[in-house]
Amino acid sequence: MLTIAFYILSALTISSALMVLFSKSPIYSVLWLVICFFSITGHYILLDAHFLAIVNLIVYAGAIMVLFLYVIMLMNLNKESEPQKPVWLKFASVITGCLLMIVLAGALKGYSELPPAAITEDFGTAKGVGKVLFTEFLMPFEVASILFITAMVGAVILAKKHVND
Amino acid sequence: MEWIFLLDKTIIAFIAFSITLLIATYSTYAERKIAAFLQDRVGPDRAGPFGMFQPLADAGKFFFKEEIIPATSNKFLFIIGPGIAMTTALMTSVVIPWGGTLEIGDRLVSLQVSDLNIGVLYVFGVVSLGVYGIMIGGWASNNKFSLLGAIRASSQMISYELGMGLSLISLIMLTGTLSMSEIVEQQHGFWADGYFSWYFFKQPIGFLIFIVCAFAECNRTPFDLAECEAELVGGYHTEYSSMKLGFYMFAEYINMFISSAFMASLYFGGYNFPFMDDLGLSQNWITIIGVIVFFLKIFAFIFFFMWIRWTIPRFRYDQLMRLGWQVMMPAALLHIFATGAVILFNQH
Amino acid sequence: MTTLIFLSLLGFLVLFIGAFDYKKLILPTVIIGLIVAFFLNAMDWELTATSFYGMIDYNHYAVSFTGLMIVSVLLLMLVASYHFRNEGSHIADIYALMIFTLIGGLLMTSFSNLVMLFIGIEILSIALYILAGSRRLNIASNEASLKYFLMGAFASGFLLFGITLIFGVTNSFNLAEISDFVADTEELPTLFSTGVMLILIGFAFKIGAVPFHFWTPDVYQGAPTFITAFMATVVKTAGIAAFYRLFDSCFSGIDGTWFKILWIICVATILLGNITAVMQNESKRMLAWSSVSHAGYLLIPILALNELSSSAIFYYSAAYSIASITAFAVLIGLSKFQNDLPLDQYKGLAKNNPIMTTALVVSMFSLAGIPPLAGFFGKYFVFLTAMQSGLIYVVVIAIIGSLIGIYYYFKPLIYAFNNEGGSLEKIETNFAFNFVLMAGIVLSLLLGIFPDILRNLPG
Repeated sequence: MLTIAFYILSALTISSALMVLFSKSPIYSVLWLVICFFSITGHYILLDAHFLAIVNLIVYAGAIMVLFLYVIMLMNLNKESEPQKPVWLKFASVITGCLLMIVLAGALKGYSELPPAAITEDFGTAKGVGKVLFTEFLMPFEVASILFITAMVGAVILAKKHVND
Repeated sequence: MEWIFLLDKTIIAFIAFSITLLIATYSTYAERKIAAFLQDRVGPDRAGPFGMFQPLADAGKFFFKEEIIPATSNKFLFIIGPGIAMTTALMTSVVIPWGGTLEIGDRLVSLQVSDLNIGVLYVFGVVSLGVYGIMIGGWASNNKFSLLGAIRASSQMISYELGMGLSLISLIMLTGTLSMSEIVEQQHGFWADGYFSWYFFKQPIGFLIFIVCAFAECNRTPFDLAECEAELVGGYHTEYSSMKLGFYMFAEYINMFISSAFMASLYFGGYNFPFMDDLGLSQNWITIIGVIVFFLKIFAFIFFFMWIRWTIPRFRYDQLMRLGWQVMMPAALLHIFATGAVILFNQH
Repeated sequence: MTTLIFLSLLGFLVLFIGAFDYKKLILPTVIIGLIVAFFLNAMDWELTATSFYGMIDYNHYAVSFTGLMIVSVLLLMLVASYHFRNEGSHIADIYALMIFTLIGGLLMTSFSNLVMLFIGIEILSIALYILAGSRRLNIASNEASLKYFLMGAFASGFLLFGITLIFGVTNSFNLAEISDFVADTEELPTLFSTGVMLILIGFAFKIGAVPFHFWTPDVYQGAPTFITAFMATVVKTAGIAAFYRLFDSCFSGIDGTWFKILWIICVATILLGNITAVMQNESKRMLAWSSVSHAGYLLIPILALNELSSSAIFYYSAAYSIASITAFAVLIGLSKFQNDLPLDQYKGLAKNNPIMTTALVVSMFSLAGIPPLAGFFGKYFVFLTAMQSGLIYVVVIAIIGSLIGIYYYFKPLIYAFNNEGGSLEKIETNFAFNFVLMAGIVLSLLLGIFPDILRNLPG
C-alpha cells in the first residue's frame, strides 16, 4: 500500500518537475511547480513527518509560489518574448545534465547497504521538531535569523526609493 | 473493525460535506434576510413560505444560465479556477470536531472526520492554498480588472494570513497541541479551575486579532476590496457567469462557515456548553446537544459576519494593508510575548 | 562566540543609526565596533572548545581567520569613508550588510557542523548578491548582482545536495562524526564520494576556481569597486578557509576520490587565471583574473593537505588580502564611480601622488610575489607545503604561472611611471584613505620581513 503510494507520488513528482521545464508558458511552469511541491508534501506524509509536510505546504505552495505567480502575472511574460539560446549551449547543457544524472544514478549503487537511521518516538510531530530545534539545532536556528535579516535589509536596499534617485 | 471505522468516517465526511453545502446555500438566503432586517425591508418572500426556497431558485438559475467563456481567456485555467476555490474551501471541514463521541453499540464514534495531530496547521495550509483559485481565475480571464481584483484579493489574504497565524500561535502556546479535538476537549464545560475554560476568556485580544483577520481572509466587508465595484467592476470574477460564478460565491460562503466553525471551536469551546456535566444526561444526549450548541455558535458567528457587513463601510486599500501589516501583525507579535510572559510567570 | 554575538548586535546598531539618520555616527561606530570585535575575537584564543551541541568549534584556526577577516573589513571600511563620501542614504544598510557578511565568514571558519557551514555560506552570499547590486541605477551593477545571484544560488544548490548525500550516508552533519565514519568504514559507498564531489563543486564555484569561474570577471567588473575589493579579499578568505576546514577534518582520509579532480582544478585555475589576466586592458577585470589565479595558489595547500597546509593558507590569504586591499584602494582613489577602468588610467600617476604610487608598487609586487614582500613568502610557503607532499608538477606549473603574473602586474606600474601624455593631477584624499595605503605598505613589508608573526597562528 505504502509502496504503491510512494511510486505514484514519485512519478507525480518527477513528471510535474519535468513539466515545469517543458511548459512553454511560465504560468504553467509555476503551476506545475506547485503540484511538484504538493507531491513532495505527500512524500513527507509517507515518511510520517506531518509537521514538515504541512509546513512545506504552507511555506512553499502557500506563500512562495503565490509570490512567484504574482510576479509572472504582472510581468505578462509570453512565448514571443522568451529569449532563444544558441544551439551549442542547449547541447552543452543537455550533455552536462545527462552526465550529472549518470553520476547520481551510479552513486545510488549500493544504497541499500546503508542502515536506516534510528527514529525517536515523537518523530515528525511538531513537538519532536520543536525539541530538536531548541536543543541540538538551537545555534543554526538562531543564526538563521541573521540570514533573514540580511535578506530583508537587501530587499529594502534594492526596492526602496532613495532620496537622491 | 477496519471497514466499520472507514464506513463511519465516510458517513461523517458525507454528512459534514452536505451540511457545509446546505449551510452555504442558506447563507445566501440569510444574508439577504439579515440585510433586509437591518435595513427595515422585507427581503426575499416570494419563493415558498418566507422565501425559503429562494436559494434553490438561485441555484437553478445559476445552472441554467448561459455559460460564457471569454474567447481570449486561457480556457483550461479559466474552468479550473472556481474548482480549486471550491475544493480548498471544502477541504478544511475535515479536521473540525463537529461533536463529541457517540456510543453506537459498544463502539465509540468520534464526530470528527480525521483528528490530525497538526489539525490547526492543516486548516492554515489549506486556507493558504485558497489563493490559487482566485489568482488563477483572475489571470485566466485575461481582463485587467479581473487581474487587479485577483491581485488585491490574494495580497490581502496573504497579508492577513500572517496576523491570523501569529494570533493562533499564542493560542497554541496555551493549548500545547495542534490537534483540534484536543483543543476543544481542553475547553470542557464552561468553568474549570476557578476560571472560564473557553479560550476566548483567556485570549480575548488574540481572538480579536483572529476575527479581524478571518474577515479579511473571507474577503468579507469591510475587507471586500477584491470586488470593490466602484473601482474594479466586479473583482476577480468579473468574467465569470453561471455556475462558475456560483462556485466562487459558494466558496466564499463556505469559507465564512468554516471560519465560524473554526472560531467557535478554538475560542468558544466548540461543542462544549455550560453545565454539561451537571445535567445528568447520557453520553449520547450530551453529544447531540453539543452538536446543536456548536451549530448555534456557528450561526451566531455567521450572523455576526453579516451584521458587520451592513455596519462598517469598506476600507481603502492602503488602509487595509496598513492595518494588516502595521497593526495586526505587531499586535499579534506583542500578544505572543505577553502570552509567553504569563505562561512563564504562572510556572514559577 | 562573543565575537559572533557582538557582530550581530553591531549590525543591528548600525541599521538603527541609519534608520534614525545620524550619518556622521555610522562610520565611527562601525570602526570602533570592528576594533572591539577584533579584541573580543583575540580573547577567544584560549577557548578551543566546541560549543552548542558541536555546532561551532572556535579553535585557533577559526580565531586567526576571523581576525584576518575583521582586519580586512576594517581596512575596507576606512577606504569606504573615502569611497562613499558622496553616496546616498542607504549607506548604513550597506555597512550593516558587510558586518553580516563578516558573521557569515566567521561561521564558515568556525563551523563543526555542515548545517552551520551552509548557513554561513548563505549569509555571506546573500549579503554579497545585494552588495554587488547596491549601485541600483547602474546597469552593470545590476547585471553583476543578477549573474552572481544565479550562479551563486546554483552553487549553493550543489553544495546542499552534496551535504544531503553525505548526511544520507553518515546520518550526521557533525564533522567529527563524519570523520569517524570515514575512518571506520572500509569501503565508502559511492553516494558518499558523490556528495564530496558536489561539495567540491560548490566550493569551487564560491571561490571562483576554473572551470567554475565564469561569473568572476563580469561580477568583479560590474560591482562597485569597493564591493569588488570586499569580494576579492574577505569572501575568498572565508571560502578557502571553509574549504580547507571541511576537507582537512572530514575527507583527508579519502583523498583518492577527490585528489585528481582538485589537482586539475588547481592547475587549470593557476594557468587560465594568469594567462587570461595578461590579455586584459581593464583594471578590474585584470584584478578579477588575478584573483582567479590566486584561488588556484590557495588550492595547492588543500591539495597537499599536510601539517603545513593551514599555516600556508593563512599566510597566503593574509598577504593576498592586504595586497589586494591596497591595490583596490588605489583604484578607488583613481576612479570616481565609473565601472570601466582601463589600465591606462594609471598613466602619469607617479609624479604628483607619491603615496598612491608607492602603494601601487608594493601591492603589485606583493601580488606578483617579489621578495621581500609578503606575497613572495606566501607563494614560498605554499610551494613548501606542496613539496612536502611531493607535488612537484603542481609547483612547476605554479612557478610558471607566477612568472606570467609578473608581466601583467607590471603593466599598471609601467603606465604609472609614464609621463608622456602629461601627468595626473594630485588626487584629493582623506586621512583614512592614506592610512589604509600606509597600512598596506607597512603590513606587506612587515609580513615579508618577519613572516613568522602570522605564520604559525592557525596551528
